[in-house]
Amino acid sequence: MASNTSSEEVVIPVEPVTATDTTDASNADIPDYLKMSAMEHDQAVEHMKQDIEKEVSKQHLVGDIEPTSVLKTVYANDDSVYQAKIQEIEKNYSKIRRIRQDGNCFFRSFGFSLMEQLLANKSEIDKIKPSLTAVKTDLIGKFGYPDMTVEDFYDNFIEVLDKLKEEETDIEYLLKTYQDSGLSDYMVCFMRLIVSVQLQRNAEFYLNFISSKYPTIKSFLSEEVEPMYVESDHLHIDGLSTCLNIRIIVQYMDRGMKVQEHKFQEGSPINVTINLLYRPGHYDILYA
Amino acid sequence: MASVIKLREDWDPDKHSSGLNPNTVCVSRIRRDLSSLLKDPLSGILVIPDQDDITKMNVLVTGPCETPYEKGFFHFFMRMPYNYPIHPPRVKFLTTGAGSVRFNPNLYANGKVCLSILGTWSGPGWTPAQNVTSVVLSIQSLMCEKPYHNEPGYEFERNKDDVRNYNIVIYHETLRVGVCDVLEGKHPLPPNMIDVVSDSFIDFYDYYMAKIDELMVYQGKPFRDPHGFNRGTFNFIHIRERMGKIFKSIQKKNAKAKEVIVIDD
Repeated sequence: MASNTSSEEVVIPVEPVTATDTTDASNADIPDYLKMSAMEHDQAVEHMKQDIEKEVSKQHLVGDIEPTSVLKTVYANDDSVYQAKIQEIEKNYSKIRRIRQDGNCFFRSFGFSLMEQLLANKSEIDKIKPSLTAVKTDLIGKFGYPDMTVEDFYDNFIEVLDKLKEEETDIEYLLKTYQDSGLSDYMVCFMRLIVSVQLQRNAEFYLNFISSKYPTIKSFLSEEVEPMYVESDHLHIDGLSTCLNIRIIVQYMDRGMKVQEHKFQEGSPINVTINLLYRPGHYDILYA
Repeated sequence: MASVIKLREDWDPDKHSSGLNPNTVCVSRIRRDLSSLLKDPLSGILVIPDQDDITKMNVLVTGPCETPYEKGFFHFFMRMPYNYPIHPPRVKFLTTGAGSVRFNPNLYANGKVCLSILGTWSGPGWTPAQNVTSVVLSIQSLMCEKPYHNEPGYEFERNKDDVRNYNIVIYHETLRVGVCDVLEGKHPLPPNMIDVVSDSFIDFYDYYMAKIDELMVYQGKPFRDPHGFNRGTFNFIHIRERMGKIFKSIQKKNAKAKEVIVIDD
């Protein structure tokens, strides 16, 4: 928690578009977007947003495993900063599984990677269950969430976990589950509630890391954690990792000097390690 | 990460529907929502799902006591999207005197219901841990003691007696539209709701009469509510006449129903 800086570095302030220069004689040099009225500008932004949403909805919720080098095609050849960093990451992680960029990517990455490893390591499944049950109990008993909805999310999550224990369950089952938007999003909902519980249990501590625009932990949770499609940062990762006692290692790839590594719950006795790649605004799963 | 709050434009359940079939968890979740409502019914709220399509439901909210909506009948139509509960339901307010009355700063005459959890108002948005119960409770909570303050910027009275004047308008419109129009069938209700409303009307009749007597001092005065939404002339005499007729016709119908039972015996 102490080094919360790298996730903040990626916030690129967007300057409001002003049209004060339009009286200038060199009008011809002014880009089109500066000549727009405020309304035209809003519409253009809205269209752009819709295009992005359309493009995003074409991505798989959870993709197939690919060589990490596939990322090189995502960035321009002459983008030396990123190209060098991809090479650096490739050294330790040769493969990647890309996740849909819909704001739920951290949770979907975590959930899939966790269950993929549990599938190969079935003895660890029951070690995680007590903390999941405690989440349910606390949500209902301590924090007053409706039992019906909480149980629904919990039951769904446990059902998938139990299925992993069965001999015939394979990775295809897991992929199918995570690519079904109904089931997949349900899993994300529950993981968001796990973070919520963890932050409520330790509200005083976590409040130190929350922007002052949220006077209470509750207000932060209802805007930044519990609603779907809201992006995650350090706090979400810490909450999920701590609550379930699962080790997470994140490689931060941004415009900084070099790839930075952050570890959460490093000493966890549970034999699972979630390896994630962070690029500004997005998480994917990495494989050695 | 900060984001600009964008209020949804596609709030109207009649006009907007993806046309997609409900996904794997949607229907089972709606069933759970409904069964929990059956188990713990909410005071003053009736939710009736459509017989042919579980994603559609009719909601009747009876105006809460000690508010200007008291004992009025307010009908809402609610529709769950195919990916409920990931996305919130769409809700439309139907008891609007055919689009002529704005019952609350957050209940528009065109049926729009402004609530942050529905994405139609600023503030904490929808989360999938919410359910039908939390939506209808939020709607009911709009019908409060002093709805004047629901309008942003009206946290304090702008003019003396604004709160009271607004309440009198709402009392009048509740009795005129939320009771008389509904009972006279000017506002079409699903059949199973008509019986509920008729029975309640008989139970509430004494309250209606007492309220009308209390407000009779405003008879004949023109009104314009402090928000400028509703205007007209107070006519409690007419409302009393209409209620008298409604009362008689329900009694007549009930008497007939009894006769039928006697014959059956």
